[in-house]
Amino acid sequence: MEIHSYFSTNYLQNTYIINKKDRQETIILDPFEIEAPLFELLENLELEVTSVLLTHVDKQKWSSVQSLKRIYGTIEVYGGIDDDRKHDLVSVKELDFFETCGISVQPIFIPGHHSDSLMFRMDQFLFSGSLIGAGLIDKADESFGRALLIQCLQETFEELPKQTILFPSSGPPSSVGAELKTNYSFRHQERLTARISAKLFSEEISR
Amino acid sequence: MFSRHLCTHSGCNAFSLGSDSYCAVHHPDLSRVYQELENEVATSGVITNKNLTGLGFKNKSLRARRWIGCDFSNGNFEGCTFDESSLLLCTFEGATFVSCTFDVCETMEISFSGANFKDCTFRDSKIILTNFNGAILQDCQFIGTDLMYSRFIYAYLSRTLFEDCNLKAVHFIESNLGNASFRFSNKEEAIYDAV
Repeated sequence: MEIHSYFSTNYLQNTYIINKKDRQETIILDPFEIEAPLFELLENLELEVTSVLLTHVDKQKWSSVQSLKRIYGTIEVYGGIDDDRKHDLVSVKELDFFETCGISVQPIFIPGHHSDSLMFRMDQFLFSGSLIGAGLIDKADESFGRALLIQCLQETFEELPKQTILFPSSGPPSSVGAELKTNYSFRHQERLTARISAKLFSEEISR
Repeated sequence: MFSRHLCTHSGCNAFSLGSDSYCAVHHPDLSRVYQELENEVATSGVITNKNLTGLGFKNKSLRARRWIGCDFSNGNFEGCTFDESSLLLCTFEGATFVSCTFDVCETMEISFSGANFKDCTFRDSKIILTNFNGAILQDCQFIGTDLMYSRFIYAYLSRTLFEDCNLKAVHFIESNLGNASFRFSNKEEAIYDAV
């Protein structure tokens, strides 16, 4: 499997191009904008986009998907939206695995932020979208959602091999092991939980 | 570019070195790996897709090369120079750098998470979107360097100088900056608190 990254200077976000070695058909993960340099990169690599993976569907990414369809024709789009007539995509939220471009993909649904927030695991690589970047977790809409998001991410990460390389939508790459050690949100949440537990237990003892 | 294969030694979960079948721990002939890499560095301008995890380099010139998708995690670099190099999508997690130079170097989407830097310089370089989370930097100098969007979360910076650097959107959350100096740098544009 080969991975190439493209950094959109307009949106300050990463788009990933993933293909199986010696195969022309390729996956684009989270296309933020179909800019000339991205198209040039695809042309130089002699790749043809046949599949798009979306870690979360928004207006900007959906517009890029439409541009890709105009360039490459039929494209299979995978995301986490359920029962949506507005977006013509295959919902993989409930699946354990699916295959596209000869690559086995594990969609991982993470609650707490958007209802369609997915991470995609392929081989030893995890594409986390905007849910988690190096050292930080994306903001959720409210405190319960945020706590749930952090807890679900932490539990997911603890089950994954530590050497799994993490490719987020924004910011530099990292690894699962490094995030468990240095992610501010994980550590902050642990401290918060410890403080609350200590307070609860001390109140119970004093009763 | 990235491509990884697991070590074929039974029960080993590490990635294999380069195009070989074994990782640095189980490889039967590491000297050949070093020799092959040395030949490639001498003859090729672009080194892509190499797993060089756990290897050590002493007084080596790795300068004026493009390194793409290479994994140097847990490596040891002493007296090495990356001057005029360009590094893209490489990882140096847990690596140790002693007296290394990264002058006129361009790095983008690199992870130095948990790495240890001692007496290293980054002069007139572009260290963009680079991950220094949990790294320890001692007696290091960043001079005239653009560090835009890089992250130093939970990093420990001791006697480290940022002189005339661009620190726009650089994250220093929970970092120990006690002994760091930010002379002529736009430190007010850096981020110190997680919101």
